Amino acid sequence: MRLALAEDDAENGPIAGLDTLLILEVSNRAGPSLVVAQEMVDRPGMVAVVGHANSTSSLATSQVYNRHRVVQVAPTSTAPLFSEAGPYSFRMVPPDHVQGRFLAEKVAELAPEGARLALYYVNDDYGRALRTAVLPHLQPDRHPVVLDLPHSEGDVHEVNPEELTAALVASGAHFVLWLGRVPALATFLPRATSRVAPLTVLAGDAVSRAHLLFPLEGWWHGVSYTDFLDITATPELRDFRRRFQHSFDADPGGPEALVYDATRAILAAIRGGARTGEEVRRSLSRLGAGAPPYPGITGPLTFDEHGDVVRDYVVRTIGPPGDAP
Amino acid sequence: MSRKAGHASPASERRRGVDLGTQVVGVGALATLLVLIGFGALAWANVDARYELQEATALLIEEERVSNRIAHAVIRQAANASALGERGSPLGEAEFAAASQEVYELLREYLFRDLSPRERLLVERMGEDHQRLEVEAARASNLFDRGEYAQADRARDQMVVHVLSLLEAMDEFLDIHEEGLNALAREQDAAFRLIYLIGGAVALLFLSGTILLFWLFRTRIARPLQVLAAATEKIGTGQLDVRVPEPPEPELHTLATGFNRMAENLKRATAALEHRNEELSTALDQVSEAQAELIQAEKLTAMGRMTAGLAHELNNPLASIVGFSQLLAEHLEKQGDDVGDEVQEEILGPILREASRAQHLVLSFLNFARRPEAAMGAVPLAQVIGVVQALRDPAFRQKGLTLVVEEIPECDVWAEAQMLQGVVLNVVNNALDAMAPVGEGRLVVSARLMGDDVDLRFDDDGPGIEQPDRVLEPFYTTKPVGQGTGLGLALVHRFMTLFGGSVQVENRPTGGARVTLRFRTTPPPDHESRAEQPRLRGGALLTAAGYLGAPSAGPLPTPPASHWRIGAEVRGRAAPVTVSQSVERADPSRPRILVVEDEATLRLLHERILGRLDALVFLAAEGAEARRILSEEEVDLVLSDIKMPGESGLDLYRWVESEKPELLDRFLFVTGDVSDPELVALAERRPELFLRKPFEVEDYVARVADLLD
Repeated sequence: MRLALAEDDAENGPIAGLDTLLILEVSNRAGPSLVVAQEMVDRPGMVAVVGHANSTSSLATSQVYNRHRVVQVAPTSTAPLFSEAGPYSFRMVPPDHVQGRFLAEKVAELAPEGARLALYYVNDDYGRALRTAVLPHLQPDRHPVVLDLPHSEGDVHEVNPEELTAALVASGAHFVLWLGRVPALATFLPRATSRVAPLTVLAGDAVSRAHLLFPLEGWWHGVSYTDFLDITATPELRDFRRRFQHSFDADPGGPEALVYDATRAILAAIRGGARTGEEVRRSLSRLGAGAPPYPGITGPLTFDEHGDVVRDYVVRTIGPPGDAP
Repeated sequence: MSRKAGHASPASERRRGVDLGTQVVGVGALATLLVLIGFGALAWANVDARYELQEATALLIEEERVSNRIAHAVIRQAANASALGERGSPLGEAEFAAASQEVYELLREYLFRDLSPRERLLVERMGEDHQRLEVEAARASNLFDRGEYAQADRARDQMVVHVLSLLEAMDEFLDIHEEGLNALAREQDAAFRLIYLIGGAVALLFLSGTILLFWLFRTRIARPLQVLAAATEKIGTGQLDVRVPEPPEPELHTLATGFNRMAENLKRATAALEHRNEELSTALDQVSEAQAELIQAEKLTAMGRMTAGLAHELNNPLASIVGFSQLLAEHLEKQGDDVGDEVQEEILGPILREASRAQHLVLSFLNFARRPEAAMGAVPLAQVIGVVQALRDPAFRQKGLTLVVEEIPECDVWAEAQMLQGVVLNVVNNALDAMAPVGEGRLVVSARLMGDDVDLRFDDDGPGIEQPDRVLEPFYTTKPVGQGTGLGLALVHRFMTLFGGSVQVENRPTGGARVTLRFRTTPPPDHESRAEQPRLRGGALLTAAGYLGAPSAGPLPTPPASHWRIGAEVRGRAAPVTVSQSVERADPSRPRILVVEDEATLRLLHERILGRLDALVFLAAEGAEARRILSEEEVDLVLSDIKMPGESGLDLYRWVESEKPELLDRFLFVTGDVSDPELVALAERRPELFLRKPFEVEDYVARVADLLD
């Protein structure tokens, strides 16, 4: 987001009166996100917010933004309920029912015939929604689900990797469909891979930022996950990756690219004359519907009538240590 | 009322004040607007408060329902999870999952609700507690499955912790809502207080508006109308000077101005009406007087006709009585014996005296009946009074009375001199007769100027008048029979009326009578019209005789003896009277006289008297016979009556005028009445043609002799 602001400023000149507030908020609990959201809307002249980082936070804060007519562009929230959050709620990723079908298809591709599936899901809006989306598309006759276990990720100490591993061992499954986030997976993976071999792990989009949070040890190798895009798929994305690396000395993922495009799209609306949340909302709603799609690095950007972006998922697999995802 | 006050210009009316209707409508509209605003605010506050309260109550009820369902589902999950170990198998998994989904969906219902940050946090906390409850339930199930009961029990304990935490959060959430409801109730209380306040303000405004309207109505409408009504009441009672103040409001100002104008006009109209009423009353009095005078005039006219005819009928027998009595007296005197003297003295004397009185009476009748053409003009009043005083003062002194004439102002009155003397003489004679029985009385004659009039007053100290209002009526008299005709004061009244004056007869407060004659000093307004009146009216008789003494109302004077003996003094002319009714030739030296008379007695008297002149008398009883005689005989003189059956004497005169004009100078009418206008004219032109009946024999003989000479 900082890169987007800087590049827009460099390309188009500074926007008079533009005030930006960057808050790092990566909580997957609603409470802290609501505090941040209230701080946002209490600022005079606030017209748009890019965030929050996950579905739980985005859903919890969406009503705060809608009530104050502040545009919210959630870069990575996939919970289906977000489609009904309100007219000021946009997101840069497809909802879970798309990912659920995509994950089921990938299970069918990656899991050998008769493989037993262990389904771990975080028992929050994200995990429950994704579980609800993927279950109908699985093929129990080919890949029976032998473990369907929720866990909590509100506090990393809530995750008991031993119990998760014990359950895996007890279930006899060798294919894990992980519908949780990176920290919990990071505590689970070392034990699981040591107790069950071979073990195939397919995770949801929440794992796409794993390399930003944890050193990808060997047990990460071979873990596949869905991502919103392939950061190396297009020249624009590769160039973005280069710029990102140059600016922050780190590799960007899909979410960074999505945040970049979301920020540039809002700035374009403001440069187009939008001065209020309502005007920004109208500007974004017209993309692809009366106005040309915004030419983002992630591709042409348009939103449907629910504010959901129109795009598909990709699957990425973590390579050996030292390889970039 | 001045024009300025009564006819204000529209601009000034506009300046006076706002239109009354506008004031009332404005105040009414303002009050209505305020009331509407007040009630609108009341309704808005009431409806809004009710809506909010209903909505909040419904929300709270709904949330309590949701909360109850959540609690119920959570308890079911907890109970289900607790039973896992006892049953030894996850028998309630499906039921657990269903309850889990129900709780999840119910909690998600809160997601899109309008919650406060605190409420939203509590909802999220409930969700997280529920998620952890489920996680712990799953753990417990797995631990039981793996026989790790101790850990499974701890997991169940954690479930209880999460359940309690969830319920605690739910209670707090509901407390917040309950507190919100209470706050709303307090707001509604405040709203109701506002409603009461606004209601009170509205009521106060309405009351103020009503009082203002009442004040406006009372001061601007009712009070001016009361004043107007009171003024109208006064106008109704005749107080036309009442006026009302003129309020500034155009309508009432116009009304008051109109009322004042109406009152002013009414006052003027009433004054004009009263003035006309007075004029009408005066005119009515004048008409009444004129009517009375007209009645009196008609009465007198009728009486004049009657008296004229009566006088004529009486004159013929009187002429016979007087004539034959004189002839008898002459005859007895010629005999010269004592018997003759005694008869003459005791018998013929009274006959002649009474005949003479009857003659004067008839003359008075004729004078009363006539309407002489008076030579009206200015007559010196003092001079007339002086004449009468000279005439009647001896009579007063003879009776021991006093006639006092005070100083008479030198002025002329509008009258005819002879008639005026007759008037004054009649009044003086009346006073003399009335005062005579008392003796030592005084009659004071005075005059004074009354503007254009002169009052001539006769005050006596006699017995007064019994009926003053009747003394002016003809033939009204209080004198003994034979001493008055009752025509004296009636003639006075008539002559005064001719003069344009008046007569007032009354009793004096101190005793005695008072007669006031009011004369005009100038001609009356109708003088010209009176002058143009016919000189003869209603058969009245006009003679050349004077007025003075003729209409005496007093006792008729006894004629002196020489008067009725005059015939005996005709000398040298006495001759046997030849009476012939046929043509007879005789001595041509004898005068030949034709007598035309319808009454035989009078023909005989003519024949006897003319016998003194040795005349040859031709007698004719009617005009035709007279024309025959005149045609056949030589006649020196014609003596003719006038009123005869068939042809009249005047007809005969006209015949003579055409057939025997040489006889016109020897034609003599012997008549007691000259009522025909042609005769009147002839009498004025040639008075020598007339010999009045009854006549004195001497006069008769003298007139005939003169004509024959």
